[in-house]
Amino acid sequence: MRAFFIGRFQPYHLGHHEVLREIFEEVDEIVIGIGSAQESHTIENPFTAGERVMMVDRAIEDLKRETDFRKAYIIPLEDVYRNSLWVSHVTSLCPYFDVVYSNNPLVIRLFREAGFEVKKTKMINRIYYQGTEIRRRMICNEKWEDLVPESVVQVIKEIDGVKRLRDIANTDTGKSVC
Amino acid sequence: MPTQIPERVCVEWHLNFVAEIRNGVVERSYFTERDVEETIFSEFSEELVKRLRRYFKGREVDFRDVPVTYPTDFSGRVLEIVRGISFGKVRSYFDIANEVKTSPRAVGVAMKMNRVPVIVPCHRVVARNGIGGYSCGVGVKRMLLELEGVKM
Repeated sequence: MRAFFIGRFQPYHLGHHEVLREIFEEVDEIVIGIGSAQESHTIENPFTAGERVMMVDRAIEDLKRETDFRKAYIIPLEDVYRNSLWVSHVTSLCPYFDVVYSNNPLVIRLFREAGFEVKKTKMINRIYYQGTEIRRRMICNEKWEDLVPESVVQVIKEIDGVKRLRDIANTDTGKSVC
Repeated sequence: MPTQIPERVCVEWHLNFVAEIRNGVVERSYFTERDVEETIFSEFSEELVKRLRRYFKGREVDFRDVPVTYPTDFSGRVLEIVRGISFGKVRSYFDIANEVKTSPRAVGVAMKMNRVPVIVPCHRVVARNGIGGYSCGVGVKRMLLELEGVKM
């Protein structure tokens, strides 16, 4: 049984980690889609697809160890801006999967219409807002490290991610978040 | 990711009542004379529209559990208190102002900032000597209070 899970991972946080732990326990292999892969260097999407691959890859090392080294594929997925084609776009880029795990109503809807089995994850709602909260804390110089796995803190340090986000936030004339 | 389009539910009443939902959070609601097409794809929105239909038939429905957003910290503090006012009950701007330690006018401003009328029942806040204002029109406020059986 191979499962599919998609997130933007801006950044990868403990909400994602708990959902993935749940999935790792239930299936043999997992395909992790990095959504909106073309996006980077914005307040909403500060990290590149490659950086997000590194975050996911390092973070799931623990989960793999806990589950007998399950196979995981990490696939960056660009947006197609046409929802009716989105599922075939995803399936054309990923190894075959049998089941989709999601709490995003539109993702659920599109995969169900395409005939996929969709399971809801236990963590509801929080997953959407945790990323926003972490980015806000990074910009406002507040403590964010306790919301992501230690391995992800390391990746963000290596790429100097917090400074990048703050620079973007400063040059962006939009709303203030602090 | 797929392009997130907001879900939209619409309930027919004297005026049509519309609520827009994104990821299980009601982001905006308003009254309109126009017909609005519904877009519903989540169970959350299906459930919400059923409750709204019951409400606009005059049944007592509590929306306190519905996730919403507040524009600012201050308006959020005031609107949270307003959410505590039950169906068919009213409180005055003055009374709420005392509770938040602010002025009745500031409470009025917070009411005006409410993005989600009906879901957050700012129509249940009235003046001590009258009905007070309503951004969708005082007529709508009066009809909502009548619907809930409040005698002004």
